[in-house]
Amino acid sequence: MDWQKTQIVARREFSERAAKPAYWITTLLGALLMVALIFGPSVIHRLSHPAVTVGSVGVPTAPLQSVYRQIPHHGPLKVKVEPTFAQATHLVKSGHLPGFFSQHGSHLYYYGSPTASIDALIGGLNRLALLHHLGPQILHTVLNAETHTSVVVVAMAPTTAFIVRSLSIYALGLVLFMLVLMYGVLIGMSVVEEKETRHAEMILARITPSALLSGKILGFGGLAFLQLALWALTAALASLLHGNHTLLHALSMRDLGLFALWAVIGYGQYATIFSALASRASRASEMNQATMPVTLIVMIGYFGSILASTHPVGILAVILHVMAFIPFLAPIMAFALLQLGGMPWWLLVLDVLFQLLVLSWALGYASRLFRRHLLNYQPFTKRLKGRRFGMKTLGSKPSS
Amino acid sequence: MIVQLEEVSFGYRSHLILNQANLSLQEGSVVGLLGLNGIGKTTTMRLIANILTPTSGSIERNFAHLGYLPEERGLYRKMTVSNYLAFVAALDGARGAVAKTLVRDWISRFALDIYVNSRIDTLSKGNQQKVQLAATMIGKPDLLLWDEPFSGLDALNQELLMEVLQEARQQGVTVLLSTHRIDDLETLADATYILSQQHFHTYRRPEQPAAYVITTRDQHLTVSATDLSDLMTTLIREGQAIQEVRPQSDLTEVFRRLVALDDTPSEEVP
Repeated sequence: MDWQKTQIVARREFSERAAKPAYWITTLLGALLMVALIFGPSVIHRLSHPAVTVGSVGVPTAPLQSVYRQIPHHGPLKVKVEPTFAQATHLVKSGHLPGFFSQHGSHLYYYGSPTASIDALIGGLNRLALLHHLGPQILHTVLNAETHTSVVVVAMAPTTAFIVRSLSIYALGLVLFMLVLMYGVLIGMSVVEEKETRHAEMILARITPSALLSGKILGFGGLAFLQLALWALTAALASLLHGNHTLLHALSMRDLGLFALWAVIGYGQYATIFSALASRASRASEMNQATMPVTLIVMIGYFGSILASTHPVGILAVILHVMAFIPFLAPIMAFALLQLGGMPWWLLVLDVLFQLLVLSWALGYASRLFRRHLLNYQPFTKRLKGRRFGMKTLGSKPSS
Repeated sequence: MIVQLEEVSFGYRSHLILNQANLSLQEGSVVGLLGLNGIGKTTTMRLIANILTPTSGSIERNFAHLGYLPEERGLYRKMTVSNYLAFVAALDGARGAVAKTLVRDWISRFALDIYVNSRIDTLSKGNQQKVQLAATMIGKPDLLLWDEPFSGLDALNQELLMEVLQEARQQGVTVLLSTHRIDDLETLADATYILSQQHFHTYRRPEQPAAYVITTRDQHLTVSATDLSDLMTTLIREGQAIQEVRPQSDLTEVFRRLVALDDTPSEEVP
């Protein structure tokens, strides 16, 4: 294979597509999606749990905040410090404040109509038994004291950390699914364009079909992974700006490395098979039909990845683990299984080696299919009916 | 020989196109290729271009750079003229400043200067064809395979293409020309291959024509070589304007005779 010519084809595919506004619009939309994924959950949380404001006359703010933070699904608590009882009362009566806390002796009182959130705060303060006979200083000391307890909490439901990690893996799996499908279709369209414009013949006098195929795969690969890198960069920056824990924080470097590995293998396998099958179509309208089998495989992989987190054991789990070794399903499924902790390293190495072997076979097979069908302009449907253009000799070696 | 086909056979399924056919192209010659539609002219070119591989026989190729204009025209329509030609030049091995000069020169030679930065799909069919022809020339080929190069070109551009072809001939480029314009082959080709009955039949123009065709405004007159000067004198005396005098070729006759043997092809070559 002429490597230089492959590079020229790859460069053309890359520069022609990268010059199109559609590519950058997609990249921008993807980047915005990343920002939304990072900031979205906290924004939604804030919207569904609005800030609660209470007044305080002589009650320290810190203990109130501290107790309020322990209430599940709480929003932020704003404590408005009022200098006098009269001023605070005026604000409540005029509707500017729902209520306020005031300390009289060793007791804490709430003046106003408590909302559900303030009820929960009062409940929390009561549960801690901090209202009776304890002054602010003691209250503060107790709140910061180490708790000694003999009660062991047994988690009956998945922990939040597990759910977040599972969601993060699922989200990345979705990106992987979109990547292989989107670029598989794009590369297929590029092959059909080659046939539809009858350019294939002109170019095949200069370059071998396998070099043309490899050039296309590399060119589109450059576009795909540049886009992916820009999305990853946006997500990392957004995560950095956000500061708090985000979906990205739930992923380890190992997870991200495995994502990159399976993305490369997945792209390679699907780009190869999409371009080979697309070479059977003569027109863009026939492409979907020609590539339907492989589209179905991607869909099976996607549904498998949905089931991965909810079926850790049982027959379905066994099927999902087997799917992680089936070529074309493996890149999506092997990554999705990380939701359950992934596979042992030696099994992973075996799987990766097997998939690379399949990829190398697929490249050879696709080249033969590509060569055989690229100059065949008969409609795909007509060939399906048995009137196939039989260029059997095309696969043989040149005689000179 | 720059190309030699020896005992070459090729077919699409049961439809045999070439059956132990022989063809050779001499360096620096212009050779015509004639045949009925679907008989295998395009297949022959594809075999020489190494796009197809023969079922049996051998093809010897002694050229470094090939300029191939297929019958099925194709371009990357979204590319600009200069970008497309630069891409083709790169595939033909030209790099950097050399490639730029080649692109500029061939754009200029085919009078495409005003379309340098135009997208190919905005060009007329004739201009698109000129881009394709320029693409065949840009790699400094030593063999040109042109399949119907004149179709789709207006009279002026046909003239321009003739000039380019003559320049290529002077530079020693070998040309295999497939065309239905027998008249052009009469004047251009050193030899013509007529593809019939899965074989190539060679036709060479005689050194001394036996007869000539005189064209006046009203008529075409065929006259033997010995009577040519007498007839011309007579016509001038009568005040008739002689428009053209050309040697009569029997290529058309030979072609008719040979293709009459061919059955109508059962399957079109794609």
